[in-house]
Amino acid sequence: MLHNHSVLARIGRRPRVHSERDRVSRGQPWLEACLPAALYRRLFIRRLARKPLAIEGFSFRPVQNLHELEQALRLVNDSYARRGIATVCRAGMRFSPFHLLPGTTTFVALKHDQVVGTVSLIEDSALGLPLEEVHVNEAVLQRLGGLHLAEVGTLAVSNQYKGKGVPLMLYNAMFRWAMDHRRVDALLIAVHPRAAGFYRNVLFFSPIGPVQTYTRFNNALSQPLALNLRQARQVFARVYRSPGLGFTVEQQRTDLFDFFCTQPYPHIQLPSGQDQTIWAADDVLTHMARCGSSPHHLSPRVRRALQLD
Amino acid sequence: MDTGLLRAIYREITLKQPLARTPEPDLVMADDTCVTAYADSAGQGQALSGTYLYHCAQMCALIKPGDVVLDIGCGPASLLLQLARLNPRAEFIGADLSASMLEVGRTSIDQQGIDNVELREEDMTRLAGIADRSVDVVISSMALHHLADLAQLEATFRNIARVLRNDRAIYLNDFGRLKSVESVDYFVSRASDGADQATLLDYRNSLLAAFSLEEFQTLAASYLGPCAKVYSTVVSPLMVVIRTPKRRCVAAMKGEFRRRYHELPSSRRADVDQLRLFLGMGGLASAF
Repeated sequence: MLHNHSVLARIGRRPRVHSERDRVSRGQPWLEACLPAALYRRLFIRRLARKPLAIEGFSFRPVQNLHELEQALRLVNDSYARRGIATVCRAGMRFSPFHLLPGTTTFVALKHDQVVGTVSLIEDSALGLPLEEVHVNEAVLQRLGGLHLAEVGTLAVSNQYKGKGVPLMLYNAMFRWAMDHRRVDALLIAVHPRAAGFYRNVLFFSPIGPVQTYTRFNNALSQPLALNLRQARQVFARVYRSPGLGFTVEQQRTDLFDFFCTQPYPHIQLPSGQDQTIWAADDVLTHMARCGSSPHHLSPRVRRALQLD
Repeated sequence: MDTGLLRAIYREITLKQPLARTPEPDLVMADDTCVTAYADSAGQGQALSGTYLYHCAQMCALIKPGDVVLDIGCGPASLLLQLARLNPRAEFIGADLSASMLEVGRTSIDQQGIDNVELREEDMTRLAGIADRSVDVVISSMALHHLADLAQLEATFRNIARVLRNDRAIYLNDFGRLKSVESVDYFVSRASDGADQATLLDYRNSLLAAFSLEEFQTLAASYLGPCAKVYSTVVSPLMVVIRTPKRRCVAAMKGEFRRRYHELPSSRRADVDQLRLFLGMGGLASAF
């Protein structure tokens, strides 16, 4: 226990402690698991139609400076700590070399210049993909197929803005970036099996390996999924272009194919071309110092990838 | 079954003492023709491709992401490059005393664009450039018989124990010494399909220079701890493997290994089958 409960309770503050176990339950909700994929999609879209996305005043774009990246990483650590799969730390964020690689694009949802949501697209590099820590075989097999891989990682939304459709808009920006700008062939993601229903049924990811436990994240369960982006557009068009599967975004009738692939949204601001964010060595060192880390803690390979040598 | 195999089995069972050891004529493979022949023999469908596939699959079960893996006597790094492609998150160090072999290895690394392999010129009996407890996995494939005598093998095992971290993983494989020259000639003749003269001569010299199973067993028990077990092909110790228990499940990779196995020519597939059968009967389960 990090704080004394009783003292904090007396002065009326909730103690900020991390949960000792992953709050996402290990059991699969049986009703959801039994639902056929088509019915799952229909129910998901009905929920969207009933409760439209409240994205007025938000903007979704890749991070532009170190300040935004660090806000995003703090949000991620905070969200992981609430879930019980990371500990609260003094810096409020943990250093991960993947977020500073030139192939990584971190998307943020901004409201009043504050980062309220984030997701990252981590392209395959010399360091591999983060999910290879536990799903090493699956990533290697995908790579042997000669595909340009990228991992979707570190999705987090501020508690205050949950239920407004922020993750869906972040995925929208990320899909467009991966498909149209970066020409990624396959997206990989490692999710808790309870969340896998959404990715499998709505976004057409397919499982590529067995469920494993992420030791680094308090033994959280993790299922690897993959989506072939070359075929995703056709699959989305075939399934979602039907009159019964429409919903409204910003007073405009749309469906999930238009939403993800065609319709432009002023909230999503992607850079033109396929330019990536390249962090200067100074930014990397500053960020490492703020995380309480230093280049000496890194292996030579990571230092080379971050161009610190 | 050919009568040659039966005769070899009979000799191996009935003779009491292994053959006297004849060290390799050149302990460091530096001669250009020799290096080229050895480097070519690991290529797709070549003499060593089946053997490498078998050992590569076994080694994968020991390597976890983030590990530092040391290959002692890596030669032209053929096996190391296969492993590095299958384990992109691990870092590999290849150590060999032959500068010309390492040069061939560096060229292949550049050609294939692999960045997690570093080759160093090191004497495996000293490993002077490798710090104590800095390596997670030590591997070696068909290199130990190049040592001059038993004292050097002992020094090598002592240094392997020195550089390994506590959670140690070891996979060393080499030939074992047979009991008669006729058996050596028989096994060399079996490998003659598709192999050139230089490779066959090298194979024969290697079999004559191999250490005996008892020598491996004694040294492994003395230096490598109780987890390292010595396996050998049943009846005659043609192939000896020293291995610690698996550290990773490679069930998902089986399909890829099987695909590579089916791409081999039939004679190389037979090599894999024989290793699987004879090492399996000696207690070492195949990884695919």
